[in-house]
Formats: sequence, structure tokens, C-alpha cells
Amino acid sequence: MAESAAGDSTRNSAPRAPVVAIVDDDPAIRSALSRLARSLGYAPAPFAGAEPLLKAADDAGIAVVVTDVQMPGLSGLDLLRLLRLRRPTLPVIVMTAYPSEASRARALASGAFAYLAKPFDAEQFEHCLGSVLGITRDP
Amino acid sequence: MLSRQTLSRQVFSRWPSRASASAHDGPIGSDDLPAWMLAAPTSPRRAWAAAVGTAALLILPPLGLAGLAGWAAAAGGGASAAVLIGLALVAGGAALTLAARQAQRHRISETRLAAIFERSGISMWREDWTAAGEAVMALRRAGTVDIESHFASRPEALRALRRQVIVTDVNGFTVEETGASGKEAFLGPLDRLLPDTDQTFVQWLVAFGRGDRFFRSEAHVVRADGSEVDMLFTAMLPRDLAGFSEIVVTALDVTAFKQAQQRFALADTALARASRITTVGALSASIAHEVNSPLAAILANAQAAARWLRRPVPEIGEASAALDDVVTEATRARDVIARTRSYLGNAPRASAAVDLLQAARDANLLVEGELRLHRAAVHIAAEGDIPWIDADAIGLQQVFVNLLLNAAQAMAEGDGPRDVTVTIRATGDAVAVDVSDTGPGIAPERRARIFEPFHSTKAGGMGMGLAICRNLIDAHGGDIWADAAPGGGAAFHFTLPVAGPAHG
Repeated sequence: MAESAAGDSTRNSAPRAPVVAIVDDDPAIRSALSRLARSLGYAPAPFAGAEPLLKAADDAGIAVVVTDVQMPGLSGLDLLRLLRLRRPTLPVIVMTAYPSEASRARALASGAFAYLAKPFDAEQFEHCLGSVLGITRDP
Repeated sequence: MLSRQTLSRQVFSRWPSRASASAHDGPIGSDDLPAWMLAAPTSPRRAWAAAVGTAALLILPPLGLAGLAGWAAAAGGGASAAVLIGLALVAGGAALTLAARQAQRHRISETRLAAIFERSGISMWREDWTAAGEAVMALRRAGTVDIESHFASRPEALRALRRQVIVTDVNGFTVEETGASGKEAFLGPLDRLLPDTDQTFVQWLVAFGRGDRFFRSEAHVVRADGSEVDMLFTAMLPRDLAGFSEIVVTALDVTAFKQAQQRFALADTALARASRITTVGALSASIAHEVNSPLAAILANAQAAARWLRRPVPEIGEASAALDDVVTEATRARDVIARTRSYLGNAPRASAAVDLLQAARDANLLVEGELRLHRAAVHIAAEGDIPWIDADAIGLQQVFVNLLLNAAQAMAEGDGPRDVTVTIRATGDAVAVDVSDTGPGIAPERRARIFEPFHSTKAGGMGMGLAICRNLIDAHGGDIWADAAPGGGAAFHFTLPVAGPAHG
């Protein structure tokens, strides 16, 4: 289901690069974050919404989920809660273009690993992925 | 919103009622002076002559008879002389009785009048407006037709005249109602009772100058104990100059009505403001979302491109694809802004024929409380006839509201008089408006920047007031700018084309 470019990414990163699922209904964000993740040495797996991800979540070898909040159908927070039930160990990073204290609190209370306000820069993204996956990279 | 304005105009009019002004539809020329200015003066000599006439009527018959008696006695007609003396005595007695009765009747009517004045259940004031009447008469005779404009540019002359209006008596009810220690609390110059922010005094002069038969206006009055009340004043206006020495004014305390009205207005304004803030909040959130998304893509693509290029073996293909997306997303962000602007710019604007003078007065009424709080006295005047312009009435009212509040706030620190003068005049195919104050003024180097959004000098101010003014005036095809008032304060000027904004 994922429009995965993971096959290509093996060319640029280690064969066992962690798979980062990127869930956003905006194709421009999907492709930009995939490209950024690849440049950081991850294997991105883009999904256009919560439903496609849930279908693929069990067999795609996903190491971490980065999801937008406002999406048609299930929201990022819905996805977060469902994943907490089905895959309690799968870390989820929540991002939004409409950040607020209330939504940050809700996301963190629901078990999000981190809350990113769009636009965020590569260092934030890298730090976030690195700490969630227990990878310490050179400063 | 509309209903409140209508209510405040009809029920608690600050301006002379239509009824009193209706006799003068159309502009008044300098030739047709009001009737009271043309009425023959009742001079003291004439009053004396009238009194002498009455006395003569009473005295002459007995005197004549006595004279006849004397003549008859001299002529030797003793009997006829005695009859005539008798008649003279009778006539004299009758004259005395008549005079006594008349005096008594006069006393009774005086007593009754005094009783009506004293015991009426409404506050009544006797006021001497002679100086004001004479001043208005002199102005009208000298050819000044627009009394309001004349005094708008001479606030000091207006204050001086106000000091010459003397309250000579108030009735018992006035003392009872206000809980004053006695009549003395009210007697003396009217100036003492009207706060400096009063805008009604000049309307009396306007009514005199126009020859209104009666006057009605609502004024804010300072009581002897310093408390402030709203009063509705009504008076029949004199028919000649002599009548100005005693104008009887009735006053109704409308403070409670006003307070209820103000609470309603406040709730209404708070509601409007809340809904405006909600709208602006929702709008800015949606703009933020629309712009943050392409920005997020731009940032991610640009940083990915940089990383591909900085590799020991640069990945030109990846970097180039990322940069293409940067361009695409930057274009998207630009389109979001353009779309938002055109959406807001095309919001339907209510356009109708607008009377700018009325718009200024409505705005003045809307923010009256706040202006009074800052102790600002507002003078509004039109020079000559002002053509109605095709415009958005609410928008222009907003321009006046912002400029009036701005002026009042600018003067809040000073010690001198706090006058805001609004002058409206026609200039060919446009209408020009000046709003000047007696505050500290605006430094020349700041004048261009004050119209920029978020440019605020006030603590807690958003700095949007003047930016909104400029937007609204722009939308009407007009200009707005600021310079110095003759007295050193700030002066704001704007012009609006009479035909409305040019389309296309």
C-alpha cells in the first residue's frame, strides 16, 4: 500500500536502514519528508492517510511513524490511539501545521513520542528520529 | 447595531429634534434672519410708557371730574359743583378699588406662577442667555450662517460664551431630586455645571441662529457634589431678544435610561468584538495552516538538497529534484497569500449614499463614553453643503471612530484643553475631512509609518487602527495623511471622491 521508495534508498544508506512511515494527506509534505528522511539515512515509507498505514503496519517493518494531525478520515490523533492499542511499542511522532497547546497536550497524553510544529527544520527532525530509535549520531 | 443607533437618535437625541428644525427645510440664507432677531425691542422707556398709560386711565376720570367740579364751583353753580365733587370722589374711589384689585390679581397670578414653578414635579431652571443671544444675533447679522462651524474653529470663544450663561433660579423639585443643600448649589454660570466635554451648548446657539421654536437636547451635567448625570433639557425659545434674559428650561434626569442603554451597547460591542476576534482567529489559523504546509515542504526539501550536495559524492539528481519541489511549494505559498487577499478584498462592500457629517456624528455617539473618559471635547462641523458620497457607511464610521479615539488617547497625557475638531468640506469632486487635536502631535519622521500595520505606540495597542483607516480610505479611492494642526497637535486628513471608487 505504501508508495515506498525504500528500494531506491538502499542505494544510499545501509541495507538495514530503519523504516520511517510518513503519514500525510499532502503529497508535497510526503515527498519532501521522504526525501529528507532518505538524506538522513532512513528508509522512508510514505502513506496518504491513517487507513493505508493501519493496513500495512503489521508487515512493513516500520520502526517509527511520523503522522500529520489534520487528515480526511481518521486523524493523526485517532491513528495514534489505535496504534497504542495494536502496536504499543511502535513510537509515533505527531506533526501539525496548526499547532496549539491543547493539541500538543492531547497528543502527548495519548502517548505521542514527540510533537512537531510545521514547518520544522532538518535538525529537529533528525534529533527526533535519532532519539526515538536510540541512535546517537555525530553532533 | 442598526437598531441601537436608531434608538439613540430618536429617543435620546443630542441634536435639536426634527420637529423644531422642520420649518427650515433647505439651506438658510444670510438674509432671512430668524423672527426673534427682527422683533421690535421692548425698551424700558416703552414699558414705562405703558405703565403710565394704565395709571392715566385710572387717574384721569376722577381728576377730570374734580376739575369740572372746580370749574362749576368757580362759575357759581354750587349744587352742580357738589354733584361733580361727589362724582369725582366716587370715580376716585372706583379707580382706587380697581387699582387695588388689579394689584391683588397680579399678586395672585404671581403667586400661582411661583407655585407652578416651585411645586412642579419636574426640574425647572430659569436661565439668562442674553449674552449668547446677542452673540448669535451679531454673528447672523454679520452674515455668519453656519454657527456650528464658526464655533468649531473657535473653541475658546465658545467656552467664554458658556461662562456668560447664568442660572438665575431653579425650582424646589430640582433641589429635592438632586439632594442639593439648596438652590445656591445651582445658581451662577452654566459653565460650572457643564463638563468641558459637553457638545450640546453649541447646539443651543445653532437653534438660536436658525430661529427654532423649541430646543431639546441631552447633556451630561456635573452636580455640585461632583457626580455626573445625564439630563434631557427642553425649552421654548424666546420670541425676541428681551426673552433671552429668562429662558425656562425643564430638565429630566435620564441617567438610569442612559446607563441601561450603555450596558446594552457595551454588551453589543463586546459581542461584536468577540465575534470579530473569533473570525480573525479562525481566518489567521486557516492562513497559518495553508502557509505552514508549503513552508514545511520547502524547508525539508531545501535541507535535503543541501545534504545531498554536501556528501563526499554529491547526489545531483536528488538535490535537483528537491530544489524543483522548493520552487513548486514557494509558488503554492505565494498563491495562498494572493488567494486570501483577493478573497478578503472582494468581500461584498455595502455601498450607499452616505452623509459624512452624519457618519461623523454617529461615530461620535458610538464612542462617547470613551471620549468622555479621556476628557476630550469633540467639535464637529461641516463647511457649507456636503454632497453625499457613494460609500460603505459602516466603514467610514469606523474611520471616524478610529481617528476620534486616536486623538482622545493622544491628548490623554496633556494638561491643556483637549479639543478634537472635525471639519468636513466639499472640494470640487471630493469631500475633504480634517480631524485635528490639541495633543503633542506626531514627529514628521513618524508620519508616514503610523499607517503601517502593527505600528503602535500605546501599551496593549495592536497598532491596527490607522492601518484599517488607510485600508478603508484606499478602498474608497481616497487618500489619507497626517501632519501638524495649527495649534501644534496632530491633524489627520482624508479625502473621498464624491462619485465613489473608480471601478476597473
